[in-house]
Amino acid sequence: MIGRKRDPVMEGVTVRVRKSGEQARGAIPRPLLLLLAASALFYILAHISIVVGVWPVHGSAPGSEAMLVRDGLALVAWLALPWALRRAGYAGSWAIIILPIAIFLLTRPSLFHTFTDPVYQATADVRGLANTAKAERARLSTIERAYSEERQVLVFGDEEPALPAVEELSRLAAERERGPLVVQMASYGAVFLAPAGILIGFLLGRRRPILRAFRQHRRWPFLLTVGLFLLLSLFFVERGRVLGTTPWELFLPIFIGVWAAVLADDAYNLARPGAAFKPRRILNMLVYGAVPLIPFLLIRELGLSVVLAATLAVMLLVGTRRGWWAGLMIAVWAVLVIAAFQLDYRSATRLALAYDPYHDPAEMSEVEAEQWAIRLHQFKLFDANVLAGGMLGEGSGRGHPETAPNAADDGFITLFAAQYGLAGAWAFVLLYTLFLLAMMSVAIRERGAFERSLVTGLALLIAIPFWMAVLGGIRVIPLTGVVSAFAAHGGTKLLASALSVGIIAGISHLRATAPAGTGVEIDEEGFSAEGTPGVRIR
Amino acid sequence: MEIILDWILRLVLIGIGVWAATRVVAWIGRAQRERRERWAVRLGLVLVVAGAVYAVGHAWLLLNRDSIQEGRMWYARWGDPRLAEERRAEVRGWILDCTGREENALAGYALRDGRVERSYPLGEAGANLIGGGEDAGARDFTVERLFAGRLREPATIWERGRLHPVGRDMRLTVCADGVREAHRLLTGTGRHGAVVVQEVTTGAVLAYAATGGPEDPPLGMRQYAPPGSVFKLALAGVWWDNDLGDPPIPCPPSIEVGPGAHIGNYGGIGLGTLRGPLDMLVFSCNTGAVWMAREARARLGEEAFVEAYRRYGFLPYLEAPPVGIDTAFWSTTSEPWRRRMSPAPARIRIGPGSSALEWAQLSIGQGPVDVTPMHISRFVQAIGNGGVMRDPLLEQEALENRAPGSRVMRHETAVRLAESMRDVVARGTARSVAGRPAGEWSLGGKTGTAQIQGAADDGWFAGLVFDDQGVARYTVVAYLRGGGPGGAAPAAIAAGMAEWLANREEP
Repeated sequence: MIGRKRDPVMEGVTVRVRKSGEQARGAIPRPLLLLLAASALFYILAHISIVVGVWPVHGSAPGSEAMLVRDGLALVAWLALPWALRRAGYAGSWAIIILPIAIFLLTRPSLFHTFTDPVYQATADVRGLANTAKAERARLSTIERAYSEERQVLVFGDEEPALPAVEELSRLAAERERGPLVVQMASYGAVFLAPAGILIGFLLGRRRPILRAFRQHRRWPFLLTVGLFLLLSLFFVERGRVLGTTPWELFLPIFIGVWAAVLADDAYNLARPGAAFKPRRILNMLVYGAVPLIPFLLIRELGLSVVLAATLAVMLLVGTRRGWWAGLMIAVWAVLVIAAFQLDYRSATRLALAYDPYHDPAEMSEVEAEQWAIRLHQFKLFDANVLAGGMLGEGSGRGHPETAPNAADDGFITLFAAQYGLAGAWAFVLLYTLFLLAMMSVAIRERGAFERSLVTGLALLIAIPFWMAVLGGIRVIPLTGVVSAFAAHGGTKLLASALSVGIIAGISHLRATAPAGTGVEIDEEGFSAEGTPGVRIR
Repeated sequence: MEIILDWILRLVLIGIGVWAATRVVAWIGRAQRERRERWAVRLGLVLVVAGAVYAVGHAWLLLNRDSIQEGRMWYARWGDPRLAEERRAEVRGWILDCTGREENALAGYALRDGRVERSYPLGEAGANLIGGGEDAGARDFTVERLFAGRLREPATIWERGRLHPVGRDMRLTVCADGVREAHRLLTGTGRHGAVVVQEVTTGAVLAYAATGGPEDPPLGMRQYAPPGSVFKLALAGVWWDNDLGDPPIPCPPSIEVGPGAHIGNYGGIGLGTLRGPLDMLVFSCNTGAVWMAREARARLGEEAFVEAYRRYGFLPYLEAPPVGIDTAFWSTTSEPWRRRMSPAPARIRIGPGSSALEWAQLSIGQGPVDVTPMHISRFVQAIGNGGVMRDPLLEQEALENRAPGSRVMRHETAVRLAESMRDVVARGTARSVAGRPAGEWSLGGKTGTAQIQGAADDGWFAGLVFDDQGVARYTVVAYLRGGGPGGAAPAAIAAGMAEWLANREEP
């Protein structure tokens, strides 16, 4: 490549020319291919480890075999995605495609272990029985596996008891709330529908007319989404769910798209304090920036409302490129946080659970101690997961993290930490960080204001819940109940995130295939790289 | 296979993490070099910082493991499914007895009502040492509890990768049938007390039984008692170790030990003049012991006593009595055992400032002298071992790696004391058990009857069991609270244990 080194004294014209012949346009870079292969190997071996090492000991939940088949199909679907994109002529950043696949493949076995556990999904009334049956089975099977015949005779005498049957455990595992068949199928099949989601997102995102139409007619998708959201939240929500699902995540990319359009159309004025606070403009911002939050507050989805609010705020900052917006937003944020912790008992409790969870019960009344024990229950088990994992973890399916309630959702990082330790959990966090950076790279290179804001918003829609869940799981911040895309349990989250990634991929592809002078170069590892072909005036 | 599989998975994950780290660093470098979309770049840098914060937060939890675990245990009584699963499903190692045979295991697993549960074949006999028995969960002075970490350690490297690894067995020096016999003899008296049997050459505990509830500290190790006339062995040890010879010793019915204060013999009898310390021990003459103590103080000074008693394992003091625990007492590989089961130091208030009355009382094991049956057993072990004291031990592992003992008295002194003890049984205060055990083996010992104000006398028998070659092989210490005199029930227990030792099949 010519012109890599810049003369420290001479400022002027830098000419960059794309290498030719080294890597075919659209080919997946070798490091990412290796990552994909390693992740697939991990996925397969971890599943084997669970089926061979955990199922015979603990037994398995009803439908575990079907889940194994589903995970097998999911592997095929995810591995087919790069091939399909290649066939579709994808030329954008491969990192934003391969990294979420790798994240899914590395984390899915932990969820597989949790959901095939015979007790994890049992309802409270039978959980005690199921736990006992599971423990008895574990002890018996361990003795049968490890003890010599002579010792087994000493233990069992003449009568060797039968292992508590999986069928028995199956009976104890309760039926979860289920919606209509279509919803069930969508929820069950999210793991292999998600690759299709990325593909669909890509196909939408790579068509400039579609993006343009959305931007120009943003009012309609906005009104339709808000209307549907309000309708569902007012009339169809039962314990935060609609027909057993939480479809709210699917609305978020639409709100982000609308907000990106608002910012793109008015970025110049929003960047000037004098113009930004005109009544009409403020009203516009309130309609598109604040109204979407209302239904979330109605259904008490505080975590997602924080995610959306933070995303919209940061998009404003990136879209206007003005630091004073940051100052203003931090001030508003600080006031809101202080108010929440002062006024809202639930928030104050979450804060105490994060930073001072272990009050000595001897210093409380029995009633107070019991109430605190109920609130602390999940957190103490999350802590126990982290401690069980230590530095290197207990191994795939090991460490008993499934004993923590919501280990597959809120406490996903502790589930992973129990099995792979600090080393494994940090490796996962670094990989996820790289994925987020890959998406931010697309935003950084993007020239179009709408596209840049949209990519930033969609990336933050994945980044903010990730950090909230991960840092909340280890008590660096209060836990909010939001989950990490591609890693934790959550079908709609996975589908919404897949669509978002697909759209980002589409925009990345558009930029890479744009006419000379406006394109972006993809480096040898598939990230959007520095420099663009053509001429840049510095 | 599973452990290999798990290591492959770990390595793959760590490899991916390292690669990701290098790419993140490269991204930062590139972002620093460029000058575009600075807010988006800053946002990216915030993500990187968050990654570092995660690592610190995770490590912080690991570093605070102890306090978090403590906090978690505070709330365990309101339910802890992880703890419940780990406990209910775990397969700890077995606790094997001195024979190492599984059928003699002190703790293992057995089928009960269709469920496999931890079993303690000794039942109540082993409850105060091994575990189990009534209210087993409340007992924390037990091998099961204090060696829990050891018993949960995966038995082999291949077990480490297992979901529920089988724990490592441990073998004790204690013999199941010895404990059973000691408990049978002890409970047969209907009194509280303790029985300790040690191997003389190694210090290994072969049998231990004690009464006491789940909440009580172990009676034979952690509860003080005055030793009574058993302590005359220590006085005689000082006498012979300092070459004071075998002079005639007066044994009047009573002797004045201070203005208006007298010490008398048991039963108020006088024995005239005794033939040296040997007869003082054989007939347990209190007045003779007082005479010897006075004579020795005059000829040797107090310091000789202070030094000798310190060597014998009784810590002298003058001002505030020593408190805490004697962490050097056991030869053990377990820190929890050392912390929990080490006795408080055996102590004796003695020195230049001791009054004549106290001096006299000490000579007969009364007054300011506090011991435990384990301390007395250790002292008798040194006598039986030719004057070399060994730290008591319970684990076979500690037996194989034991430290050398320390000489606490001259060999000749130890031999003379041991011979005197045989005479005590043959013709002295313990002649009620003379001839036991039948056959070539024999029992020697010293009786003790300690007076407790307002309570019945405590009874002691501190004995040695000699084999068919006349070699001291085992100590037998029996202590009965309120169960004096020592020549009766305690001596009978010791004789019973001697019979078991003589007849047992050595591993």
